[in-house]
Amino acid sequence: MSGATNNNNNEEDKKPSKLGTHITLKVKGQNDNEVFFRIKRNTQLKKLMDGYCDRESVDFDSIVFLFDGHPLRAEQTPDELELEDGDEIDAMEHQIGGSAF
Amino acid sequence: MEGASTDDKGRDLVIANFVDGGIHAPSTNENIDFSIVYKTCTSMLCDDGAVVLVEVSNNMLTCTDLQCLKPRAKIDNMVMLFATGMIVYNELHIAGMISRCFFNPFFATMVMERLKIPKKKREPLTQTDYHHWFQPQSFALNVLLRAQFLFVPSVGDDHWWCYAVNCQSRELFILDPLGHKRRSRKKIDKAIVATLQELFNMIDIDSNYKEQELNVIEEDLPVQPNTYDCGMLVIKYMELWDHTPKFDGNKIPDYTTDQLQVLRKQMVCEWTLHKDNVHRSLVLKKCGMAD
Repeated sequence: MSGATNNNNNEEDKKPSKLGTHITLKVKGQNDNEVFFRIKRNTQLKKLMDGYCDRESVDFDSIVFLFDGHPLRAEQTPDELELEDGDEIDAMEHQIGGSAF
Repeated sequence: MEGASTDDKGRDLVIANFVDGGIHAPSTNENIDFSIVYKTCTSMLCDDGAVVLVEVSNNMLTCTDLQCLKPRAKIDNMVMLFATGMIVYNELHIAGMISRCFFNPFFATMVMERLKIPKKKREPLTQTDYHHWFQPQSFALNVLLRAQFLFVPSVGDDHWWCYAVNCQSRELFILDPLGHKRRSRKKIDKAIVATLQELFNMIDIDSNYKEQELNVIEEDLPVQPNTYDCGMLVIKYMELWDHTPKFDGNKIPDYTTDQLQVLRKQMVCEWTLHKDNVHRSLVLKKCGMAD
């Protein structure tokens, strides 16, 4: 992984790359904060997920990652999922509900 | 392995009838002991939390997710997401049509998050934004003009409740297992109603329909019988509720805690043993059974 950038920095990472071994993905948090990651197309998404959790200082188990409304598995790769450069992944808070008592 | 007891098989059958056809029996395979499947899939015996046990189309549940369905556990947003996906999947594959559409649970979370942004700074949502959370994903939003209901499961303050729009009459029902006295919900109600009104205005304009105002109704439903089953009840609302009092005069069955526990077991078995679950063999292997 080439690392993460937030939405204010490093314009270079935001530019769509030509078809190659790397892909730039945007991870959007619940608060609309965006973090960009450049990873190899055959790298497991766990690396991106861990990177996001480290950067946002959140526990891995407290976040769920979704693409097009469907959950992502840590061992999946961008190639497997046919992700395209610039695709957006949602990082949402893991929540439970019982009774509000 | 011992086979399922007559008593267990009997209970499954009773519940399948009890919900008035709203849920399908998980399997008729005589070699499957549903109690073992339930216990294995919801207990720590399922040793690796990240292992995916259910994958039907793009709908997925891991061992960790399924633990929300063990006795007295609270339902999380991944199980709710899966439930909405499976209702759509089953409708499309069994009935071949869409009558119930959904915004997945993260839509309501997004609307609640937007409340934290000052009104003047809030960007209006586009159709693409709405579609991002919409199920069925493969349909355009204007399928709502033909659908019966749009459901919006919502979680906040440790509680699940749901909004349901009758897409034809444009009534918006609030379905809350705790009734309608919680003041903290009112602000969220207002935001969800406004957000859904904007959506229907958009698709009405695109379709040359006359804009209609959503008529908000707080639906009177049986109150949840315990402090943990609101998520289970919301799943049953999304499957069964249609505003008609078809359950002994109630619009949703007045479930007891014991009945909801049987429904948890039935739900786990129905999902893990679903004929299109690509990990069905793995589930049976973990349970010590052959397919």
